[in-house]
Amino acid sequence: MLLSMSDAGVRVVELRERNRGRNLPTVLGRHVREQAWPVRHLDFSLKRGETVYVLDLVTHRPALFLRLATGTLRPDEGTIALPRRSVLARPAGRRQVRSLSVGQSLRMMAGLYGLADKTIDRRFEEMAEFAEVTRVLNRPIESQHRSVVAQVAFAAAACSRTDLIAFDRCAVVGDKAFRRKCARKIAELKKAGTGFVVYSPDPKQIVGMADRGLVIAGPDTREVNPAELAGMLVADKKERRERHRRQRQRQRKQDGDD
Amino acid sequence: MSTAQTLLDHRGTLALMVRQDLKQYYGRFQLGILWVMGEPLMQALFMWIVFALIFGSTKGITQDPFVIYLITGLIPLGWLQRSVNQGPKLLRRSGPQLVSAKLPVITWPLRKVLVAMMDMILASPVIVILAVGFHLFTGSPTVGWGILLVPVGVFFQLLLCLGLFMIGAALAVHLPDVENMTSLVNRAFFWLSPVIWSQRNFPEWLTPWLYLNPFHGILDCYRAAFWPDLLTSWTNYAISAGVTIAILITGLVLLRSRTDEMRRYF
Repeated sequence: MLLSMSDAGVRVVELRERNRGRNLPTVLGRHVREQAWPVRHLDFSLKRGETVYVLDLVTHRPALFLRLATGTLRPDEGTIALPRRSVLARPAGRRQVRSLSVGQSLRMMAGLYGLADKTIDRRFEEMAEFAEVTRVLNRPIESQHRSVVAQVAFAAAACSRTDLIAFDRCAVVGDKAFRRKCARKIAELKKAGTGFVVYSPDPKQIVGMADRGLVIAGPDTREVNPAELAGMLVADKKERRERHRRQRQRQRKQDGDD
Repeated sequence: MSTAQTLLDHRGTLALMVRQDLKQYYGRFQLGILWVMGEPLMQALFMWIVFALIFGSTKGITQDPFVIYLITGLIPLGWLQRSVNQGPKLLRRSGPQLVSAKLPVITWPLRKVLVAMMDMILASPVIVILAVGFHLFTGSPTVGWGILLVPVGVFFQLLLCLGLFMIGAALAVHLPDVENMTSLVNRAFFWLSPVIWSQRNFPEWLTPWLYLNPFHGILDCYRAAFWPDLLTSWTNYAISAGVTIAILITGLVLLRSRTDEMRRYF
């Protein structure tokens, strides 16, 4: 078994709007801190060469589970047996690498994934070649297309040679050709025994690549089949969009009343 | 030890982070990195105008020229104040990256403190230019053996800034109000350190107590390059070094105890 969790639970801190009387002046801070358990009593395991897609219905922060799976977050309850080497791949925000060249960004991403300088030096060419940035290594990343940051993030993770890779919104990135390349690389790594834990907002990817699905819903966290997970993702996105629309409408109405 | 080894193994990544922060910060301004030198220079000139010209007094400070005495205090103070300011902002500014990266949490305090240190190093040509200029016209100051103490000062200030940064970052996890207190701490460091005064303004029995402020000993190390006669008993520097190490250890312990809490916010 590559990864196993038994009765695992994670406590997080959430900021909640403070309850106050309608006409009372604001004296104290706007938020109060509350503790919540987005994951509790979770039993989960991942075999070598398996891909699990994650959907978080509680906090909408699937990165929480991905961090748990890669060991950057320790559980408050239960036990976790982690793989020896793992990587949590997230595309860097533009601000994080804005002033660097493409090559430096690649080094920075690999460094953030935990690869030591010597390892990066050894695999740099392989990563650059995979990310298709060999010819623009010395150009500022800011001058490149937005997808280059994601390509670099994917390449650094895919060439890290770890037992487990967790992709947060960067499992299949770039243009159509690069997306196919990503899918091929993932299939190749799966064959070699690498496990994947993935979050993606794209339901199409789930059906194509996932072996299993995991829905995080606090104590009701459960496993579902990939098709069901894709359906839940579509419904969840639709519901959130609707909620957001209603919220905006309410806000507009309130502004009009004032 | 394993954290130190990890940091050493990732020094290239750390250097890139520092480079990114410096370029991003100064890239916003028309005069770019020149501001590193411009700000302390202007501040020292204003103070010199106020104290030496308007008040007609250098507060009993005999080190000549007074403007260089001021600037050798102000530039290191800038490094210290920036570290104190940014500590409590760590979680808010670097949180998402900090919680998902496979690097020790201390990487981020170290990154910010090193950026501020680079600011000081980049600003130091101002001191050299002023010293050469004054030396050509007035014959003072001259560089003595005390210049060997400058790296010692830099090392201890790095430890002090790192300690203060980590204390601020750790306390702000539960109490964001710490962010508002940094200006008070900075003001205290300004008035309690010999930036615009000298320990010679005080009776001798008080001197060891003044060195309880670790920045006092550090400033003496820098200024010894021009005025070795400023140096006092070695026990005073041992006091400053001891307090610096105590602050660093407190910062490390606090940050370690808050690391898991930090990771729960995102």
